[in-house]
Amino acid sequence: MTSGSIGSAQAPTYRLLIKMCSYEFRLGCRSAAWRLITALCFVYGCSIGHVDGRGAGAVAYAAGEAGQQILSLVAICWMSMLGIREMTLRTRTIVFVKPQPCEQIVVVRFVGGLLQALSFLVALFLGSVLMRLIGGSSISMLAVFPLQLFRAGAVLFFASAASFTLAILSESVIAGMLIGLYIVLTVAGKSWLAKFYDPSPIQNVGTYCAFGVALLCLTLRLFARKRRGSAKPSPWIATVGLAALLTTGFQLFYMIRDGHDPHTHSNPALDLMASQDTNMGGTAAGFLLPDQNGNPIGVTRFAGKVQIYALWAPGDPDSGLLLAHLKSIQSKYGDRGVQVVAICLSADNSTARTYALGEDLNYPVVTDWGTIDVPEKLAASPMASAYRTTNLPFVAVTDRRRRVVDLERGSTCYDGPALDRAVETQLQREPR
Amino acid sequence: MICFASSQETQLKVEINNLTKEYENGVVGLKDMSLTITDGIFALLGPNGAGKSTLMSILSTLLEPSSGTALIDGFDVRKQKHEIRRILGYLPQDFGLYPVLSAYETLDYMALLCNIQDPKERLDRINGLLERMNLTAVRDRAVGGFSGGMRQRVGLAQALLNSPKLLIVDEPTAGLDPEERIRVRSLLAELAGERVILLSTHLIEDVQAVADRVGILHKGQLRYVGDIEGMLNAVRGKVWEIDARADELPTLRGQYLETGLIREGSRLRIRVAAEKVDRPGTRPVEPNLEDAYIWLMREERHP
Repeated sequence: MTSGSIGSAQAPTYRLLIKMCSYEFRLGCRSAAWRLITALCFVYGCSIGHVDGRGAGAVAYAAGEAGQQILSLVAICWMSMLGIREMTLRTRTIVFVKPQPCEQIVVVRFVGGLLQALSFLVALFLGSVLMRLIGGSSISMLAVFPLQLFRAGAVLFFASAASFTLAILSESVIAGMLIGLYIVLTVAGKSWLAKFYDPSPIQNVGTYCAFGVALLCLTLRLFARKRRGSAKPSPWIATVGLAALLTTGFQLFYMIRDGHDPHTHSNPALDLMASQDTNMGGTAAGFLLPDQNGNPIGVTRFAGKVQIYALWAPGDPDSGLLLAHLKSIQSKYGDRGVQVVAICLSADNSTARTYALGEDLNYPVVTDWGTIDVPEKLAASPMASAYRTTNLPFVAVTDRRRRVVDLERGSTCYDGPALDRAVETQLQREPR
Repeated sequence: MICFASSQETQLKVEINNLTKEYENGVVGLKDMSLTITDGIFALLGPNGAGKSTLMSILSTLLEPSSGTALIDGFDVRKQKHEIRRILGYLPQDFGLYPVLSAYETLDYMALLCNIQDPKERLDRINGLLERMNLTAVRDRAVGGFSGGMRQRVGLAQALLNSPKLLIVDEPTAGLDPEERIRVRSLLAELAGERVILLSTHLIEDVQAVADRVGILHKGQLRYVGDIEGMLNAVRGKVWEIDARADELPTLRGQYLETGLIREGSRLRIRVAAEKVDRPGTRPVEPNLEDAYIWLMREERHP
């Protein structure tokens, strides 16, 4: 007769938990639904990566956006159904009479489900990367994909944790899917909602991941309490849950009060930047904003150069074409004293880096920190306010003393000779 | 070599005292029930809704009793659930399996839930159980495509993974074809050696085939507890066979407790249980378990 560790009270090894997670993963991956969604994600990823005129940066950003918006809804449905799986399959009666503690059962189920949801995201990104590789992007340009994958993955984690928690605690798939409604409203542009619920900017990832962990700990604490008998839940649940909850509460408080970048919104410099009034012939708006590497850049750095300030936003398709055009201008006129600076209007701090590296841009891309990512984007951006523009893309060309000599809006920024002509004219006036 | 006997040599005792379960909708599943189960196969017999599954669920720690106590090997089902789960194997009446997993994977996952950490030990146990349950040939097939009998055998195998001291099987033969029913009964009889088996059924033949002791449950209360011989003794001398015409049947049914009927041409041979039958053409016969069961379950209108 064999003997051993059967039903022993000792804590299970990591190997056992990993094995359980792998089974949970397999349970989903063998379903027709998983295969279909994964295939669709791959095809969609290919379609994102195949669009002409998009470089690796634009593709990576678009894949990240699709991942965090569309796939978070998919993940919500997926995890909601996972939350009630034992009830649907009637496996509770054989699973819950086993000696494995509730916490382990719930954790491995969540991890398995999350891995399934993340595999959709990976399929989407693989499709995009493949198309970019075929399209000629270099490996170094593709290095921006992991950043966007991480950003979208973090959003998926939060969406999964929230929906799984609601579904498993209420034993209702509908309750889990309520989180989806929340995201739909946010994506639909309800600015009041986006102000305090928007896990998509990379700077909010920590808050929402902590929120997700807090929700999961709540589930571990509350789920199937009667099943425990007099056994106490593991102390780490309360410790981790409390820490995560405090972190979330603290950060959400400031986020709701001040917006997504509390430190920038309480910065009077942003108000000063927004209060500038830049017109033709006047001095171009000054700023001190972080570039793609996080280093602050101000207008004084480009003193004595013909400067081109380009306002763009990642959601605007014209902006992608503008960035490519500015790259050729910088190459063509850079050694004659022309400096291009792209000002990115995005609440997400990863955008500038993604585009700068992915599109292999040869000029600095600064992030307009004050941007709140809502449809009224331009009204909410200090630099757009300074230039009094309601149109993107927008380009201001200055002379070597930073006085505005030309303003271009919309497609004229990149389509046609207008911008090149303005630069040529200025260089003829001020060769050095 | 793998042995499917209980991992402990000492016999287990199930002690149930004044156990009551009242559901939220007011339905009483168990009413002040007391019972002690010590060894062999104890069969709980009763009609649907008698409270068998309620008792099984309470003993398997899935359901909380409203009042009373139930101790399994000295562990309280309310408070020491984890300790009970370590020595318990449970095959529920209504259970599902993960349809996309194979028989082997299903058992491997269940073994992980049993905290069997050593991969070699898991493999040996699962292979042994698959062999025992005659599932080796289909070990890599998804259980979603299994017949009812095969599913039942997978269910039984998962209940045995931790070599339980107490095996609870709830209606294991319900819905199975005769061949599978016999196979499951044989397995239960084989498994009874070193462990206590609590078998719930509404089929007399299950009891006859495997049970050492029987409890008859009706409307949440025990009507009888004892061995099969005792059950038969309870009705011995009270079972009669009456030769009658077909048109007499309604009248006889009103007078006596019918336990069986055989048609022979235009005549009927009606089997009844009664203290006394005053009627020509009536003869006493040896009782069987069906007679005993119906006699013990009789309502007051059939004295």
